[in-house]
Parts: sequence; structure tokens; C-alpha cells
Amino acid sequence: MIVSENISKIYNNNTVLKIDNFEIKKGQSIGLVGNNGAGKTTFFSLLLDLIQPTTGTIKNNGIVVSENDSWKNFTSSFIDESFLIGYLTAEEYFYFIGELREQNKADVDVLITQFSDFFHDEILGKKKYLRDLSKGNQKKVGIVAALIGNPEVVILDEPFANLDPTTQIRLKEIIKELTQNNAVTVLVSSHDLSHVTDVSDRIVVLEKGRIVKDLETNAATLTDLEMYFSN
Amino acid sequence: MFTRILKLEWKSFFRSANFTKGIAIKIFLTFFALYLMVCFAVLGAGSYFFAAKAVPTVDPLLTVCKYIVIWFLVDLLLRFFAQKLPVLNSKALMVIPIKKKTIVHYLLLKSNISAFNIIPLFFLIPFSVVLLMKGYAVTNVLFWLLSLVVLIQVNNLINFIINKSNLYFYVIVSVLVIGVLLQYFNFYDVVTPVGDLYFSLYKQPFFVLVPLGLLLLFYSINFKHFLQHFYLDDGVLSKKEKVVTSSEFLWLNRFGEVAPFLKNDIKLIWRNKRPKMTVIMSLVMLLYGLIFFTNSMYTEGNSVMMVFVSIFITGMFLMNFGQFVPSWDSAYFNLLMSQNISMKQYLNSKRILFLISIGLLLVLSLPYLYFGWKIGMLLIIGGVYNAGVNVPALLYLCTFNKKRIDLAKSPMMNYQGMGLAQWLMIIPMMLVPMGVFSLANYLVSFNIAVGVLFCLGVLGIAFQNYIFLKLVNVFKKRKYAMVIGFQQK
Repeated sequence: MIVSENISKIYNNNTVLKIDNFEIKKGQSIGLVGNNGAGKTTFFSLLLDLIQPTTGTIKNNGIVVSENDSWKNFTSSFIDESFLIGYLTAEEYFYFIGELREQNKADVDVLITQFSDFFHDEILGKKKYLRDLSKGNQKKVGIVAALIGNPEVVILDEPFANLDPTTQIRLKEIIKELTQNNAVTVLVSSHDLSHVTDVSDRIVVLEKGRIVKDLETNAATLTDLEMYFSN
Repeated sequence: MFTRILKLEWKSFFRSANFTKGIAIKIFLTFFALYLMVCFAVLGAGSYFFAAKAVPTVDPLLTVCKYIVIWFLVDLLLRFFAQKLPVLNSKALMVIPIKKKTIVHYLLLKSNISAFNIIPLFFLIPFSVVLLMKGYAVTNVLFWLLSLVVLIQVNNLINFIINKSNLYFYVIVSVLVIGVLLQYFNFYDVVTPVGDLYFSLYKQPFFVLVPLGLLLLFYSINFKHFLQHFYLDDGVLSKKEKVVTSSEFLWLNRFGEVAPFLKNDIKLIWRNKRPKMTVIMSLVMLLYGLIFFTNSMYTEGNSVMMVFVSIFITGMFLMNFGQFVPSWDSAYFNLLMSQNISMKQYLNSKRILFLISIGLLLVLSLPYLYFGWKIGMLLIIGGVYNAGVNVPALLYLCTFNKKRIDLAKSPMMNYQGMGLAQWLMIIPMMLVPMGVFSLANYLVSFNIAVGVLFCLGVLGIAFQNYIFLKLVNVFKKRKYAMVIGFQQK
């Protein structure tokens, strides 16, 4: 589904990302882990064509992301609060995203009622602007919005951070459901090793912009990762 | 401890985004500040002579004293809108071992460094100098000056007390309106007794104790209040959350694929102070025509000002709001760039918004037909020129915008987002139409000159799709610079 060839990003002679060849199969769920500055967000930004690669290309379902916009039809993402519109209420934001993804109000309503337990009665019908919600609640809104419109690729940067335990567990279920029938490709980055190994079929460890480990998840993966990061 | 906080303050000032702004803005702001200072100084020095001439039988100082009360009330109104207690870094200071009392004292003292307290000095000091030169007693003048400076501080403190409730705002407005009405219709001479009070501060230097007493009183009221409420969830530091009423704007759906953006832009304008201000300014500027269209000096001659005003009135929203496209969307620009929309749709929504605004302003300016068909025709030409030439020109200049705008910030003296584009805007908006008109008017005739502008507009409209597609490509190239620029706070 996603193929990156010889991709690199260099800022002032400082290589922040350099990945030779990397491929993600359709329906895979990928966990990206690495310490701060490893290049996780840079990789996502390249994939979303928010920054330009210094070398190489990324293809999303065969489309070179920097040349053609049509990957946006089936790709959705939540990276950070710059994906939220602060002066809208949660419902207005969902409907706005729905309109962009050709979903009518009823479709969006069906989707968000599935996540009512996700929201703990703290978000819907509160008549509050998104900018006045807490960080955790903002994150929940962003994650749910990224699921609107049956995307085939979902990109979530640090989705577990700032979430309460109940929602973390629910989010793990959601990600597992998405990838169950190999229909949706999910890319998740996280600093929480146990959560990310729980939800991913494959874990990619980045260090200083390079892939240092690429593992199929199995029972020993978490211990492996803990060993790796404790050194 | 105070010196440590001051050091922090020093850094926050010199490292602030305002201070590191571009050189052009610095120059502009410096000139603006100088201009204000000179204005007030001239006003201060001139008031004495003006008062002496207007009311020759009365001591000019007494005449000036009469109007000080109006100044103070208006000052209070302006402060009510624009001045807030500075609280910026106090959240970080709360948990550090500094006495709360020190922080509150510090915040109250810091509030002194405000244009509201400094600008009046540029009036008062020259005025006092003139008084001294005219032979008023030195001690008396100095104490009068001191009293007034103290009273400005009192105003500063009163503002923080009344700021909490809109009730006080209406009280001040009522007092002001009733006072002015009483005075105007000669029911009761309000200003004379109040003027006498201010004058007595000159007559009896020891009366300075009264303002000083007031200062002490209001300072302690403020101090107690802020000390009691110095908690995150309490008045001083918390911000008010508004209950939102959502609206659907279903009638905008007729605009098809750009409808979601138009709805969003209307919410953007309606729910954020600074964009809202641009709409209010556009409506206020509709009245600008009254100055020119009622003056036979402009209407009968073939003045270039008529053309200028027509473009200005119909294009006010285009200039005011349009100059900061797409910076208005900077906070969520990444979302728009990765969502299921093309750059073309996004820009088209802005273009349609501009065209709607020109149409609306044109309709709203219809009452000017009262002053004749010629003015109506000029307004239509202004609108057509705006739609055909200025809309694409502005969209092109917008590609240079890469400065973030924080929607939450107040519109007062806010220059966030200013850059090169805002200066270059003057070329298509003013210089080109006025130059073309003047030239054609000089060489041929007035009718031909406005005809040329009309044709330029029509040409622009005829080729709009072609030009628009070119613009989309320029935007696509500049997108990455915008993504980076908009993230820098």
C-alpha cells in the first residue's frame, strides 16, 4: 500500500530521516517507535506531503504523494492539534470533515454514536469550542474524526498519549477492528511500547532517522523492545 | 525577588515574537508611535492657546479642567475594551517559591507600563510647560500635574475593578451620555462644578492628598481582590468559556463543493474577534463615501478620488480580510492540506467569498444613488474592477503569506501576520487603478478613463478561470513554506 524509495530529509546538513526502501502491505498495522528526534513525525509529514523529501519518493497506493492529490481520498490522519479547528464544536468539526469526505450528516451521526463510550459524555452536546476542551478530549475528537469516511489508510501520531486508561483500551480495540479483515492500513507511532506491540502486526524502530529494527510482532517482541531501549 | 521577575520580563520582551518582527513593521510601528506622540504633544501645547481664544474671559486652565472629566470617562471606556491585567507568565510563577503578595504587587505595577498611562503624559507635560511659561505659579503647576498623573493611575486601577462586569460599562456610557445631553441642551452645567474640582487641585497644592488617597484606596482594593482570587480556576487567571450556539447555514449549500469552506469561513469570522473586526471595519468604511460624494469639489470635477473611493468601498472586505488569506487558517492548515480536498477547491472557496463580499458591499452602497447616477455607475465600476483585477491580484499576493495568526488574540494593535504581501497590496489596489485613471483622464476624458478601468475588470473576469488555474499552481509550490511558517508561533 505504501512504498517509500530512497527517502531522506536533510535540514542544514543534518539528516533527520534516511530510509532506503520501505514497504507497508495493505491491511497491515504498523507501529513506529523511537526516542524523541528519531524521525517518526517527519516520516508521517512526508507521507502526508506536508514537507518535501530531500531525495526519494513516497507512494501511497501507487500514487506519488507530492505529485497528485488523489491519495487524500482514502487517507486520513491525526498528527497533532494543528488538525483541529479551534472555533468549531466537536459536532461541527465532525460534520465538516464528513462533508469533505463525502459523508452526509446521518453517516457521521452513525459513526460517532459508535464511539459514545469513547467520549464519556464530555464532548458531544457540550456546546463548547474545541479550543476550550482539555488536551485529552481534543485528542479523542481528532482520532474519531480520522475514522470518518471509511479511509483505507489511517495515520495516528502518538494516539495513546494524553488519553485516559479506558480510552486507551478502547482505542486498541478500534485499531484491531480496523485491521481485522486486512481492509485498512494503520500507521501508529507511540512511546508506549506495550500499547504499540498490542495493536501492531509489525514494529519498526527508528533511531536518528534510520530504521534499526523491523520486526513481526510475536510474544517476545515487547521484551526485545524493552531490552533495546534500556541500553 | 522583584529584580529576578524583572529579568524574566526583560527576556520575555526582547525575545517576544513582536520584537523579532520584520524590519518594515518595526519602522511602521515606530512611525505610528512617533506620530501619536507628536499629535498629543501638539495638542497639549496648543490647548492653552485654543482655550484662551475660545473663552477669553475665563482662565484657560479652568476651561481645560472642565473637559478633563470627559477625557477620563472616555479613557475608562477605551480601557474597558482594550486593557486587561497582564497575567502572562504568572501560571509558571505560581508554583515557584515566590510570595503570592510579591507576584500580585508586581502584576499591578506592571499594568502601569501601558500606552493608556504613558500617552497622556505627552499631553500633560507640554501643557504644563506652557502654563509655566505663561507665568503660573511653579509649585501649583507641578502639584496639579502630579495630581493628574496620579488620577490616571487611579483610572488604571478602577478599570481592573469594573472590568469584571458589563454593568459598569453601561453605567459609564449612561453617565457620559446623560452628562453630554444635559450640557448640550443647557439643562444643567455639569462641567463647571467638576472643572472647579480639577482647578482646585491647582489652587491648593496640598489637595494632591485626595488623588493620592484614592490611589491608595484603589490599589489596596485591587490587591486584596487579586490576592484572594489568585487561583487557576478563579477570576484572575481563568478565561471565560462561552456557550456556543451552532448554526448550519444550509443556504450556502448551493455553492456545491466549496460550501463547507464558506460555512467554515463564516464561523471563522463570526466566532473570532480579529476577523470579525475586518467585517465591522468594512461596514464602517461604507460611510467613507459620505465625505466625498457629498462634496461638490469631488463630484463635479473629475477627481481621481471618486474612483479611489468606489474601489475602496466595494473592496474593503477584500482588502481587510483577504490580505491575511490563508493565514487565517494557519492554526489548522495541516488539516486542510491533508484532508480530502484539492488546493483548487480551497482557493476557489476564498475567491467566491471575496466575490460575495464585493456583491454585498455593492448592494449595501446602493443608498449612494441618492447622490446621483454617476456615483452609482462609479461604484459598479469599482466593484467590477475589484472582482476582475483585485481578486486575482490579491490571491497572488496571498501566496507570500506564511506568518501565523492566532485567532484568539485581540484585534487591538495586533500586527500578527503582517509581511511583504500587505505592503505590495497597495500596488494593484491603489496605485494601478489611480494611475491608469489619471493618465486616461488627462489624455482623453473622464468617461474614457472610467471605461478603461471597467474594461480591465471585465477582462479579468473573462480570463478568471485561466488566471485562477495559474494561481493554484503557485499556491501548490508555496504550500510547504506555509506549512512551516504557520507552525512558528
